[in-house]
Amino acid sequence: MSDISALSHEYQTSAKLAEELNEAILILKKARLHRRSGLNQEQRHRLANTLGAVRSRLANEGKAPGEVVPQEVVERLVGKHGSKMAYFLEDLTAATESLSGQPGPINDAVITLLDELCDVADQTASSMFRRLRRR
Amino acid sequence: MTVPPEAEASRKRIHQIAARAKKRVDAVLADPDVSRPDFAKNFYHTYKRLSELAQAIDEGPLFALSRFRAEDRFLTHVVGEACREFHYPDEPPICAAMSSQYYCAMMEMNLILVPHGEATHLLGWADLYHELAHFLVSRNESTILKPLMDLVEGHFAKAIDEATRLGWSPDAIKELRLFRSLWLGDWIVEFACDLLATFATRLSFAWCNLRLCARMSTDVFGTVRSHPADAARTRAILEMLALVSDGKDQEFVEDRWMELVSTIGAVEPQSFEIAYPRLLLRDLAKQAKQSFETLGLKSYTSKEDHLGDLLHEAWKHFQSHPESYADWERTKIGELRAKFGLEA
Repeated sequence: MSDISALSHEYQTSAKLAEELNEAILILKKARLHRRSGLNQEQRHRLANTLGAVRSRLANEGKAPGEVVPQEVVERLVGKHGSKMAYFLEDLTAATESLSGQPGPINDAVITLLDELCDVADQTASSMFRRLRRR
Repeated sequence: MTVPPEAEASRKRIHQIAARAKKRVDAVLADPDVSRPDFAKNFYHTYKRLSELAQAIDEGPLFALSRFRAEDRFLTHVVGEACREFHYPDEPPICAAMSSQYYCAMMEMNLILVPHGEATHLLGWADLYHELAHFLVSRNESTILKPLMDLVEGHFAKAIDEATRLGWSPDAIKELRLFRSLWLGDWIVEFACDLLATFATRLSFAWCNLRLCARMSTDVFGTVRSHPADAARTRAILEMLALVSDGKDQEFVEDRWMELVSTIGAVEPQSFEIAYPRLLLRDLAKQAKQSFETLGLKSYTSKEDHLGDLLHEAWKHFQSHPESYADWERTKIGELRAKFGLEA
């Protein structure tokens, strides 16, 4: 009933998203550095679903596939990309296709995109956590 | 740490969460790449989540469990009973009477906080179901939240298209987009939780909501980012009531609501129907009921649910015999404490 329950919910959703993206980026960076296999098929599929859900929310496509994307993450991305949103949506589509396609190395552009999304989810989680403490 | 039996499951759970976090800290410290500059930001993110978890444990369950008193034991039993009756599928949260923020749920810690006096008052307990709903919604986003969000997305996509076609002003279309954004943020979660609390308790939550609006609302049609307007929430509650109860219940609550609106002289703003379309609220209630049933949750049925009956009776008694209500409530709470094996 109080704001705390709603904030606690949004904190949890955004922290979960930030963790999912961060773990995936760590695996990808380690795979490159140590020349070993990166994300497995299931992890790639899950990540592609997440990117697809973000894309769908940003494009206001009505029924969005996959998981629930925190609204504040969506708003931060809209604020960041503003009038250049069409390019960002293209990047998201390309990254989703790359992750859904045949297993193989993931290119720099995808990692940069994941990094950006992870930053935004992390900022959202931190902001929610702080608001929960009213500081 | 030794805790009363009611809190033992929670203590174990928190211990497991802390142990997992410790394992993660050890893994990060042992990671050969932890000092590489190009990994720094990612490990920093990991550090932030772990430190937030440590703080949340310290401020929430650790604090509550270190001072777990008779009132908290009783309320934890009450929450457990509520969970059992409406077939809540997870481990019931513990409940502590130490909130300065009305009822609230700390999601990651499986903890409900209520104001200090709530252990001796029945009329607010239907709000426990709203808080339980926060856990359910958070853990079942794809079953509960996603279909509701799809309905909201669908409605506003259509409304924005229509407004554009009809040549609405840019400001009016901007307002529509703002409503969509607020709905998809915290509002939809609050509606889902209200709908579940109404599904689970029927009239008790409807009265509880009305009492809260009367006590705390500054403007029943006013909107804030974190919560939809009280009038819209009441409409949604009435929609769910129409689905799970007979028409008389809905009419009875609606009459009292209209009385409140008229007493305070509140006037529905022009944009209210645009922000909270009645048809959308009706569709949300229908969809929510279907999702709750899919999860196996049970709607209140008179004479089968002891706690549900007690809350129902409490509101009935309060409305019909307010002069004897305090004594009646004291007796009933004493009986409930005895049922749970706690001292009166």
